[in-house]
Amino acid sequence: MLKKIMITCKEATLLSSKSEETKLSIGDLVKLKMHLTMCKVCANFDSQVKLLMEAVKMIDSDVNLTEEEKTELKRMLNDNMNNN
Amino acid sequence: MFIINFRCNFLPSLCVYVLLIVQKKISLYMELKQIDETKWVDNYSDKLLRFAYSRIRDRETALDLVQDTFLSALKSVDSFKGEISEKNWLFLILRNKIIDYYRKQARSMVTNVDFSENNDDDSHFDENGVWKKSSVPNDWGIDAHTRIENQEFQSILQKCLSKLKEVQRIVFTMKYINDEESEIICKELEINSNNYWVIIHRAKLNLRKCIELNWFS
Repeated sequence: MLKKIMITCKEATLLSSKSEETKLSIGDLVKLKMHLTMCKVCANFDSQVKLLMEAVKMIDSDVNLTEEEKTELKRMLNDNMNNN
Repeated sequence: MFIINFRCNFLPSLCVYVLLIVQKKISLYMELKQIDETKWVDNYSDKLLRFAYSRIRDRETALDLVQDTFLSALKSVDSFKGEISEKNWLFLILRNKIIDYYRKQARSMVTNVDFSENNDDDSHFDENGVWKKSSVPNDWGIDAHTRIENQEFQSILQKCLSKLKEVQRIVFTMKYINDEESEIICKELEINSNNYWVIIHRAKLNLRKCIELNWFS
């Protein structure tokens, strides 16, 4: 019985990843929670990944074209307009 | 006119609704029908580039796709019917270009990637499924939350993202940066849900480790 509930760190982290997106089955949820209460490092993994996913959502790249790139694009568009 | 008046006596709210829709359509049509190719670069190129970059994380490729978008748009100007705005129309073209790009990349990678259990995870776990010493998630401290709200952390995060294997980066970016549904990602990249889970999970394992090494140690 206990053996069925015990899972390895590898399995636990996969369940932890999945639990962020989908609902785990009751069985999997119990296995994961059991493991996380006993295993400090997997609990670390669980909370750290959640933290990182929040951080990732905030990524905002201030990417812009340079003036040269804009001029080049305009020239290219212009050429193609004249060809049509 | 008589009919509209007649009906309005009976169904005022419905009539108002219909009139509003008609009015909206007309104003949309007047507003959107015009296209001005000469202003595309000034008006949209930065926004389009940012959109492409957020998905591809490679500036050069993103810029190429923006250029392709303008060229395709130019070719199909005549078929533009003004049903959507010029801006949305350009974004739609770019979006399709990005999907094509992903699909081409992912397909060649997915077929080359070995999805068997003991592939990439081996770098994190031993044969008993226990964490390897080099990958053990260490405590980040109680101030971890505040330590990531920082410009410097953002650049580390970007770097770690760009270090992911390409297929992991693509799937991860679509899911967490572009906030797309898992089912849609699987469909767009033509991967099954099992592969999807493995890819996402490995991306998280690798990303977490990279952040710990570069930021929390």
